[in-house]
Amino acid sequence: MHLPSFVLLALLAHTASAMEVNVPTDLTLVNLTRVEYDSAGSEAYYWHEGRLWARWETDYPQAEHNFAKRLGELTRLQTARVPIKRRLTDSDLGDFPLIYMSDMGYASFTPEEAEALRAYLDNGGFLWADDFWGDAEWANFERFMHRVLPGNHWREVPIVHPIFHTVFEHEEMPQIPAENFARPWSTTSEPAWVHRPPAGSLERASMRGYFDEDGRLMVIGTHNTDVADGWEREAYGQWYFEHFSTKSYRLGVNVFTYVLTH
Amino acid sequence: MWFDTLFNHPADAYRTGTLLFANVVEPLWWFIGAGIVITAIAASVVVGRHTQALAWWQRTIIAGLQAAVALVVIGLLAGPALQTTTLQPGANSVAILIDTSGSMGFPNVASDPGQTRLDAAVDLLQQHLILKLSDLTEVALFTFDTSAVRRSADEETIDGRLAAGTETNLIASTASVLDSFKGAPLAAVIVLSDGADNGSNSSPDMAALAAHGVPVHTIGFGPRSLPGEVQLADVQLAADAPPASRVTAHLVIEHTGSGEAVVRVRDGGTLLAAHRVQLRPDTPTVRTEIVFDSGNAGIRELSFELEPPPGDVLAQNNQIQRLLTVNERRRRLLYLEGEPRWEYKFIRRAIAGDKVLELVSWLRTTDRKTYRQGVSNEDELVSGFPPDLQTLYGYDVIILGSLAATSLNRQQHEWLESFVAERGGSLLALAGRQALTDGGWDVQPLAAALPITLDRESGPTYGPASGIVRPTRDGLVSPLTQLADGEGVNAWATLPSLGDHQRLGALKPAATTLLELVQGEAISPLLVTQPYGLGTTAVLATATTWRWQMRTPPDDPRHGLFWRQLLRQLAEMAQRQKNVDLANDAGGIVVHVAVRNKLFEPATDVSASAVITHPDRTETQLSLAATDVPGVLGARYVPGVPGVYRVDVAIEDAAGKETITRFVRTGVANREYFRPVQDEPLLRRMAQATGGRFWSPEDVAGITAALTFAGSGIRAVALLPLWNMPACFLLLVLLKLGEWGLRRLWGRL
Repeated sequence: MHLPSFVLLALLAHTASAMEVNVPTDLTLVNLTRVEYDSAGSEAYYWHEGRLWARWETDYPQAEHNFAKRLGELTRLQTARVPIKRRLTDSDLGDFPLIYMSDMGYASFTPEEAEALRAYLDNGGFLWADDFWGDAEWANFERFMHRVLPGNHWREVPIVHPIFHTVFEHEEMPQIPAENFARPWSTTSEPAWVHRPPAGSLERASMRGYFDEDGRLMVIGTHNTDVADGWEREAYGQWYFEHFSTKSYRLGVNVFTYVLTH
Repeated sequence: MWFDTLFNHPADAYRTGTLLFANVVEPLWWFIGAGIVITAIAASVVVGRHTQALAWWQRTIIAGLQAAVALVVIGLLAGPALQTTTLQPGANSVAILIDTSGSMGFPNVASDPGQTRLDAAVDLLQQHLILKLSDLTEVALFTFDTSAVRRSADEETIDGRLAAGTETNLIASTASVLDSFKGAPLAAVIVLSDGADNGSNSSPDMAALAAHGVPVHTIGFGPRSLPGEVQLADVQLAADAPPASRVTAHLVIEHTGSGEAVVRVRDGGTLLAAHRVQLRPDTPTVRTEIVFDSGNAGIRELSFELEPPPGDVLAQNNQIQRLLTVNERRRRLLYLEGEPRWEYKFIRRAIAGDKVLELVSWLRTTDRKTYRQGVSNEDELVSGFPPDLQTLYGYDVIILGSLAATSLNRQQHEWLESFVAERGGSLLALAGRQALTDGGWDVQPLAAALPITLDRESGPTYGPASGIVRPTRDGLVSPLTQLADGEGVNAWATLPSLGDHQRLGALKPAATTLLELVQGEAISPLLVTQPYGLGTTAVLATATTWRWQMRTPPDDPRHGLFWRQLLRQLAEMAQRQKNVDLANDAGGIVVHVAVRNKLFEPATDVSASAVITHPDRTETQLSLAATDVPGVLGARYVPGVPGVYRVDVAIEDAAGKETITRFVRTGVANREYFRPVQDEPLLRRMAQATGGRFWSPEDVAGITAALTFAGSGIRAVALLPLWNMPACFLLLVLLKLGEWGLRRLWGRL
């Protein structure tokens, strides 16, 4: 669906102003930080629940709201309840040593953004990219990471890695579908037709990582899964909560705890 | 001389003698008779016919003068005399010590470089002292520098003006001469010196010198100051340091000049650091510090050099050599944290891969779960806090994060306090929601150990804040807070601001603030430290130093430098179970080994031996024997040639065998160039402590009398008549002349 650009801008301005919360950042807390980025092409925006969404804001800010609250309940992390959003080129990006990106299948980055992310990661920052489905969306992210970390290639993070065991024990990488695709009688993967072609197989969820020279994880991509949707939609039904939100929270707690300790 | 003429005897006779009246048998009758005579004379003047024309006050003056004459005459008739003791001629010795150390080869006066101090001393000795004293006593002549040696007066070592000693043991040499005369009649010791006492066996023990009961007379040579002279007087430096850490050396510069000097430290030919020092005339002693990188493991032969401003007199005292052993002994740190937070991550990251620091952490991730990192085995910290004191004492440093005091039981709290006080460990408390007062630590034993008071406040003391960090004067030179070469304050000023702060209570008396947080006009202590018991505590009132890592370019090393330096130095300050100390004195290399058991009590069942590797690579085995101090073993080795000696000490106790390596340099550089002026205060103290006197060469004529009437040795009682001293007759004449003059003036002769 193509909309005139002035309509898009007006809608974006409305949604952005409605969500913007301008409060001083409390650095004594762990701030959940969403990265705002541009997407390219006709799929850069999508219509959902009565408004137009940019790709970067998928599940934002409800997912962060819910997750911040659950982190405070489930762990001893002191989290800010109001999420932060930043662009990679924002000068204070370093105040948020863990940043989260979602739905990056159509993401488009400038050289300045790639450079900023490289410096951020070199300093010890951590990027969690989530909600990729299929091969094409991952490939788009992989191309970007190739610009950010030339010569560094992703590796699958094995289930024995500490990130799966810091607080909760995981025996497999959970696959979390968006709530509207989750059916008790179906598989847990989302349908290929809603994702960037060629999607390839969407059946198996995995965590893919970029490691630094010392073997520390710098970037994880949770592939074929939408962890943040489990946070966002926790109240959309008991069945979804019990089957998916709990797994989302368990993995989220582990990722945050791992990043805060390594 | 005039005193002797007027009073017949030297002043020393009066100083030591007792006045008596030889003709007075019954003092009472003498007093009564004298009183009657004086009263009669005075009365006759006051009421007599010849003085009636005078006013009453004029009569009183005349009466007083006549009474005074009568008093003097009666006094002379009483036979005044001094009872004193004098040396028995020929029965005593006087020891003369002449300083032949290197500094005696310097000019005696700055204006005459041709005459050395030794020249002046020998001239005085040969032209005056020996001549005068040989009639009175036997003169025993000694020279000394490192030690005293008996000489005959015509030996070349004296007459040849050879001042070759590289150090001076002034007091020790004097004491050894006194010891050599024990039991023999020694009237006095005369020391001719410039007062330098710079030897490795120098001792300030004046009381021991005085205990011999023999007066020591000192004669000082050399100028009391050298205008323009600048010297590097001392360098204090830790014996060892971890690799790649910042090391602070404390330098003392003494000078009588002004201008800009430069201090440098070199390792071999490599310049490690340099900085400028301003010398001002009103501060003759300047203390400064120089910070440099310790480098890799091994031995550093450091040379500290001073480039003085123009006008320096002696160039030889501008350099001092020191050894620094850089070792990689692992230090274990225990980090107890109550909540996952960024500071925890970035502290771990800062010291990851460090060759020295081994960080073991225990983190509460949930109310019921903990996360251990860096543990050496599966059992370490498995139940949380170390299960016993012995295990806790195995760590050198404890870092306390945002951990509520209720996380530990009473015994664990007591162990934390004893970790610092008795084990001598270092403890660093970080800021946080559950740290310090906010965490309930104010009622725990550890509160006594911290450098700040923990006062319960109505609200939380921890919260968001924005401020920059500034080192204090102490912080600029403290080894705990070193960021970069020569940048000083600038290295801190350009760091990103902090994002939080914990308000601290009042500083305790022994506390030192090293870093401050500057928030506009408000300045608060940020890093405070203090010694406590055998250990050290520190409080860092922030937990957002991670911004120094995340808000700077990736190649900015300051966050890592800060944490590695702080934690390494805290670890260095912690007491060690096994300590090897080497000292080099005149008696050789002294090896001391102090061993404690795992509870840090003096170990009982210990043995130790050492292998000393000489500069030429040959080796000597040395056994260490127990000393009077429990847990301490020691031995002494006399090295053959000067140089750097390696000492490998093998220590065996209940815990096993361990070898510790240390280095020591023997044959120190010529100390005579340091403090090259006359140390008159020391010479005066020596004399005063022993009952002798300090003399300058110009007024030394009176020394014979001083020896005759005061001192030790075989002495005879002498009664010295005073009735015939010219002073008395002069007094009588003056009194009568005065009376005659007054009468003439008043017209009543």
